[in-house]
Amino acid sequence: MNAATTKIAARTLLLAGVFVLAVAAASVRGGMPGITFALENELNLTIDSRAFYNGLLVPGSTWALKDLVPGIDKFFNFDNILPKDSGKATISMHLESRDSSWMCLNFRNLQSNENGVNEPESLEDSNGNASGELADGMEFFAWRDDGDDVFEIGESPLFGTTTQSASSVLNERTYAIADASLGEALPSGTTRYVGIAWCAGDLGVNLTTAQMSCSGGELGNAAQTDSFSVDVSINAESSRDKQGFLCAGGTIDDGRERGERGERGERDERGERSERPERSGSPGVDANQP
Amino acid sequence: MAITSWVRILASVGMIIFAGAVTAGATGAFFSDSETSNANSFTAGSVDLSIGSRFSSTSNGNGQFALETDNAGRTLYTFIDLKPGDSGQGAFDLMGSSNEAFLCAKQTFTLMPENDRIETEVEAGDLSDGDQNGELQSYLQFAIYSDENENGVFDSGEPLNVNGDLGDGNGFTSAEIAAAGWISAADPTAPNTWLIDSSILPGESYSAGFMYCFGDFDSTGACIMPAGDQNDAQTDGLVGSIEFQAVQSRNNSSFTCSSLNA
Repeated sequence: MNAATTKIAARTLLLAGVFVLAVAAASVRGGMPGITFALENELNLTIDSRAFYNGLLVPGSTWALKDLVPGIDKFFNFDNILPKDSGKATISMHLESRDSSWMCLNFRNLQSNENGVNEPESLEDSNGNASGELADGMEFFAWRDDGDDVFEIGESPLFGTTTQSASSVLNERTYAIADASLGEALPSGTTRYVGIAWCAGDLGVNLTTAQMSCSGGELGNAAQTDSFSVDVSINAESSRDKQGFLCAGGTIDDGRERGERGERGERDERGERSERPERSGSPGVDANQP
Repeated sequence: MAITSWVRILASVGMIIFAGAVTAGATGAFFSDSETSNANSFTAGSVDLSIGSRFSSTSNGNGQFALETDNAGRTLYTFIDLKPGDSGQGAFDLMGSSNEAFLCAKQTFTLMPENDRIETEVEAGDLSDGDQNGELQSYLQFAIYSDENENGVFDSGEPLNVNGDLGDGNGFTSAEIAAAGWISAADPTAPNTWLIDSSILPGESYSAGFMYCFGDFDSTGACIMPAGDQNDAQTDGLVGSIEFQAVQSRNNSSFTCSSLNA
């Protein structure tokens, strides 16, 4: 009986000890959030933007590196678009993290609005108030910029080399800035730039000469007073536990043999801090390009 | 027995809390950050022209309308009982919406009815009937002016065009008007514009005046009684349509109204 009691007491003490340790760990974590764990895995993404409209800087869409305020900070915010208007925004994405990170550019929630039908519009808009036509008539092209806001020979297109209308390239699309299909994750301190050019009409892009042109002829009266809006987000994911991460979803292992991945070079997610190889410069290499 | 139960209960509590602590630690393993810019938007502007009309009470005519965006099929002017030496005038009120625009005009004459071919006309050699066989159009001249004070009347000093720059200076005949096609009301082709040699401003009203003369204009816009008689035009009519078109001027600086004739 005494032996049994002693055994029970010992077990009780053991469990009590575990209990105290668990409570202590929880209280330490709760009392100093972001200290014990966050420093080891800190990941902070900041964004800056430089926007231009018909060649002029747009102060409201230009800012230095910061965390974005949803609904306030907008890369594009134009309320009187006419055919042949053009512009661009260069978005820079800056990483500060303990581990290397993947990075994706997302366009979500494309909303197209008719906003009423005026007289010249009524003569050409066959579907009336059913839907706006501006998202179909505006074209976009994006490239991996070197930070000077200009598409140049050697810079790779991100999207808009074939299909260009907003209703296509900005409609529930995700583009990889850095994922396992492109190479290694980005080390802390990396800045990536994406230039997004747009044209109210037909956007011409010569990938050989890196010249762009905008013709308004494709945007007719059917689009008068129409509008569209889209949410733009950039997400960075720590690569520590997502070694084969793909912006499109899943991992590179899902549809690829390991031997194929090896051709791109194995990665050391934890220790490597080197910059991933510079852009190849050959257009159309992005697997995510529509 | 009682002690054993207590221990079991305590052990259960301890295990539940411990399991919870492990779960909390696991959720912190994947770090990420996302920056979102909501509702990036593009909204198209508009170029929508409103037209109205006004005329002077001293003119032989009627038809005065407030500015409207839709004028299709609306008769803005009717002048009746024209006789040699008569003249009349009116003006079109014009206003663009939202954006600067070039403004062009095109007058077409659709009917030249003989109406009743009365004895006097027959005696003057008028031998044809029908809606396109009248003679009135042959004796009418037209002039255009910029009705700067927007009173519907030509006032001295207002820019007047009696076809002096490119023609004979006695006004525009219906044939000359038809041949001109689209003409400039407001575009860069100075001095041959109806109103101004630049684009019209949004929300600002402009008044494009016109005059007719049963005879010939002089350089001041006065109507000179024609020589001889014009009896073959008695009871004849002239019906036409005028069309105004506003074209955005932004991104379109090389535009001229004459390009619409191509």
